[in-house]
Amino acid sequence: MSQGGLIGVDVEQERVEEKDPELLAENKEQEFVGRTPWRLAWLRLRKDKVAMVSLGFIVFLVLVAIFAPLLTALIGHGPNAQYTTKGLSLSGIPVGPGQNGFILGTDDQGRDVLSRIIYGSQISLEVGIGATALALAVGTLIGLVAGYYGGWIDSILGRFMDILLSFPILLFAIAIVARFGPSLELLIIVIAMFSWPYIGRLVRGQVIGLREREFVEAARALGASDLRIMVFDIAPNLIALAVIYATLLIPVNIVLEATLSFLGLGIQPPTASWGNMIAEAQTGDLYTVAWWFLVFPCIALVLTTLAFNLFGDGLRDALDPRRGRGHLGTVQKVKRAARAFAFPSEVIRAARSSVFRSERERETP
Amino acid sequence: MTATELDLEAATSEGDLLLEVEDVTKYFPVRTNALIERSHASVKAVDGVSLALRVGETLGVVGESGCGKSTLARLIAALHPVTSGKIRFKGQEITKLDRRHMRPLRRSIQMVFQDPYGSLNPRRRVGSILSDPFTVHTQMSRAEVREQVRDLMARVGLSSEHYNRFPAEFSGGQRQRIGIARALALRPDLIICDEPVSALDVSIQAQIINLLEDLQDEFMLTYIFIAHDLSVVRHVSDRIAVMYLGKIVETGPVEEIYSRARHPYTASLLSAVPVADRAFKGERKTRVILSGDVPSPQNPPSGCRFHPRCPKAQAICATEEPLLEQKAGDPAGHLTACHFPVEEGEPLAMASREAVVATAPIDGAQEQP
Amino acid sequence: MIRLVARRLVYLVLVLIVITFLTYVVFFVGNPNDLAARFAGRDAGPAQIRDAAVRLGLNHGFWYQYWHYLVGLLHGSFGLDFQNQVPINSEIARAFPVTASLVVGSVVIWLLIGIPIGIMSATHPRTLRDRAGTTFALTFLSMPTFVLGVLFLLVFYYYLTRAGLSWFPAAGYVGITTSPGQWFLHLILPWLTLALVQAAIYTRLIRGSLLDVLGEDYIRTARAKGLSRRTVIYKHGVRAALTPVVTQLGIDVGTLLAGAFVTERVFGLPGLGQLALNAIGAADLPVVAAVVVLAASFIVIMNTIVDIVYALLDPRVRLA
Ligand SMILES: Nc1ncnc2c1ncn2[C@@H]1O[C@H](COP(=O)(O)OP(=O)(O)OP(=O)(O)O)[C@@H](O)[C@H]1O
Ligand code: SF4
Ligand SMILES: [Mg+2]
Repeated sequence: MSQGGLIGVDVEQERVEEKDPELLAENKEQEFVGRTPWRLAWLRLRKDKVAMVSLGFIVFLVLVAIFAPLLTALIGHGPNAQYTTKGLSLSGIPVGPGQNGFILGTDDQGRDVLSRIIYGSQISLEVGIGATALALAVGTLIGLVAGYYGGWIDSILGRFMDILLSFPILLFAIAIVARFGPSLELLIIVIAMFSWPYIGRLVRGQVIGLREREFVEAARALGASDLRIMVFDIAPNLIALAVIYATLLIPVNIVLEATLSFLGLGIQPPTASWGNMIAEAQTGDLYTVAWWFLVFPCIALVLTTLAFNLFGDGLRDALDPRRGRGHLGTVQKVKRAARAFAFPSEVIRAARSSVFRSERERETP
Repeated sequence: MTATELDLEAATSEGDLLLEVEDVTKYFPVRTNALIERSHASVKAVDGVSLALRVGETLGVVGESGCGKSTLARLIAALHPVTSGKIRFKGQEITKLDRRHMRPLRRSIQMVFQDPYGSLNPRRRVGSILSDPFTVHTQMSRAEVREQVRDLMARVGLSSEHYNRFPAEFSGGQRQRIGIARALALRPDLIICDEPVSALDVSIQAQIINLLEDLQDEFMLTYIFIAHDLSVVRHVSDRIAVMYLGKIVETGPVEEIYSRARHPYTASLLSAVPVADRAFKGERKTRVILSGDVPSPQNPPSGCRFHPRCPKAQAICATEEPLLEQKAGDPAGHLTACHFPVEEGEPLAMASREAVVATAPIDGAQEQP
Repeated sequence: MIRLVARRLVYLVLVLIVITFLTYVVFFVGNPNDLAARFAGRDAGPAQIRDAAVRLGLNHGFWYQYWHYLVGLLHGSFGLDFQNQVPINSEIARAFPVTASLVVGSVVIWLLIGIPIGIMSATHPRTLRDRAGTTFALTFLSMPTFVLGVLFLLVFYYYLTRAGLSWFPAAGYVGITTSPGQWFLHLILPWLTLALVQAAIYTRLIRGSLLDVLGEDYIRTARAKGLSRRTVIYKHGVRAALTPVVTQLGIDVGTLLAGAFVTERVFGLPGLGQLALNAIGAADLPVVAAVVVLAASFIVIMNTIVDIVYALLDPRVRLA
């Protein structure tokens, strides 16, 4: 793995698995049977408490987003309804958490903060997952083609990705959104547009390794076409990498959405998004006396980022047993997971420095 | 007379010529950066190899790691384009064929790979891996393919329960059986076995070799059998070719090579064969240990490429390249590339390294930057 | 060395052409008359719009305008802005010191925090100290910058001020030449906001690379030769471990110099980021293009510097 060496996924893991004592113990009766790559990963993942708790949180969040209308109906407060009498004190101060039936209080316009956070989760997940899926599709495709064919195709596609990576991303995203007017679809497209090169570079690096593997040679010896080899022989080996990076790119994209919304260029009020809730709170001064309508959206955002990062890291360990194996206590797991916190930036950094690393390598004999 | 002609003339077994390799070279450019950088140096992985093969024959190819055995195999299987030279299969030249015309030939030339772990896609089920040959080359229905794959698995000694398993669920020997099944699927004429057993336990090696021999009898297969030591190929081969740094240095019928090796390199390889294997022959008791590393194929020694390590080297060896030719007293078909071939019963002690360097001033061995 | 710089220059030119082109495309898709209409004023008639178009140079075709812009760049001029027709160079000259103050200060802070904690974590792995370092990283890495900034303002400005401790001033900026003290005070919170998130990342980076380095053979050899643990860690280990940090630093500084948008917005600092955000809001194409150009140049230039430093730090790497 030359690309993103910080976070390599090993495709040759099967060999290692044979010696994993933990797993051998699990399958005492039949030493080899039932050890499909995915089952093994799941076995490992299940033991990782931190990752499982994070997964639980993510599932919870997804359910909340899906059943948002139902939940807010239960609460009895719509996300955009302004409760000017019940939700604001006489002097116009928002109602605090737990008062007047507002579980997390109200904001400066008397709206239920909890309902808005629930609806905000829809936006975060839609943009986070949508943009990631799009980036993944484009990045995998281009990385696959560049890595597989090499030569001038790789040079051109590689340079193209390099240039995109030396872009002032945020600035450019802002410019595009400002020009075309903010909308959910545009937000997804713009975010995907700037995150696919990260995936592209990582996939490319992986494919360059896979291309030289004997099973690809075996397929060529059979007379399989390039397309067939890419689809049936190389792509299946990219799934693990794709799953890991997708999980870790989602929080990056969620933060990007929140940031754009915070800057007023993402989701427009009154539609609730965590980013614009924070921005709206900060425009007035009321939050200085009613902290909750600023702080709760912050907490929602941070917890979500955290959960995806922790889960992504657990997944990475599960799919790539070579990184830190053996019996770890929960404390150690937490600690190791914390390492992954550097992740969102880690991916970006890995990809970015590889832009120049490729050139540096050329310079050194 | 060229080496090929000699070789062909000498091929002992009757039967039609299946494969002719004529003065083939393969140079890998060292810097492969397209667009801007042009390659300067190159690795001469295979450098002027000629050989011929008749139907039903087994040719053993031996040599140290890195001498170009796998590269030669890949050239014959048309996985790499040749740098120069010709390869003819059943009289048809295959070196210049484009993809489309190459396709039917792929059915006839198959390969079993060195690494039973690396040659099976870890993310695909065995059934799917083995159905590849049929889906690529035939129009069979799914059910037919399934049927064929099950047959094939039975043929190489795998149970059909294994159909839905991943390669990781098999032992090394079983995996190599899968690799053999894949090569066998389309009933090829030639199978190139690239060190098919060197990654396996000794106890399993024999099983795989026996399987290969059974299959050869059953399907009239022709083999090129690659190995890095002589003891393995001995049992399966009719003829042997010994490679050193991209060149064939000695070739001949298997018993000729074992009993009367003429090239000092072959002799030293033989002396490294475990005693039990060699004892009944009652020859060469001194073991010759080669000093120094294998020189880089990027910058091979001048003259005879073996001279920096050769116990018999003299001044001429560093300047003049010996031809691969029949030496006095040898039967037809036994060719050696050496100025001073080993005589029968001659002790082959390692000359001191200083002496070698003194007589052979041009030493390319250590010049790697 | 010269070859490296030359190659980077070519690359920079390529990047600049691509991104300025894209910037122009983004702004010109649709009708360029929109742009003219925006700057002609709210109830402008067709004649005034035409005047505005001529004034802004929008009456020429796309290619002509783009070419004109490139030629201007070649002469070191970013042109006039659309809104007030003032030279963009002078606007940038005003905004750049703000961004530079922000970035330089926070770089110092994040290195001062990140490097020692990283070294401590790596030299005492799996101890309480390591865990403390990890907790620090964990806390700040999970915070988007704007969340941290907003919370800082809430706690350190509003709550403290209300509690009678006016240690920190409100958002805003005071030039260093005007009042160094005020300059410093106004920047403390922005510095910390930017620095804490970055420091957390650097902590992990240094910890990881130092652990790698300390595991390497030559370090073990040095220990075996009887050098003290301190000497080995600081003379050999840290030196080698700093290489990836330098790489990272170059990228970060390059990226941030072009505008720390979020931090500048939260704390109302009139830096390049704010300039760009305002320009984007006003569809002021030349200003946006100018900041884009600066940003890409900083990124590429910083990376070139990094490569040179890299060669100095690590004698094994020889630049062609
Ligand atoms: N694709 C390639 N690109 C560049 N060099 C190569 C390539 N394939 C092989 N080589 C080089 O060619 C030489 C011969 O390699 P080859 O794999 O043929 O050796 P081998 O005899 O099969 O060795 P082994 O016993 O280790 O398998 C080696 O020096 C190798 O580094
Ligand atoms: S030619 Fe000379 S160096 Fe080469 S093998 Fe023969 S004796 Fe040795
Ligand atoms: Mg080989």
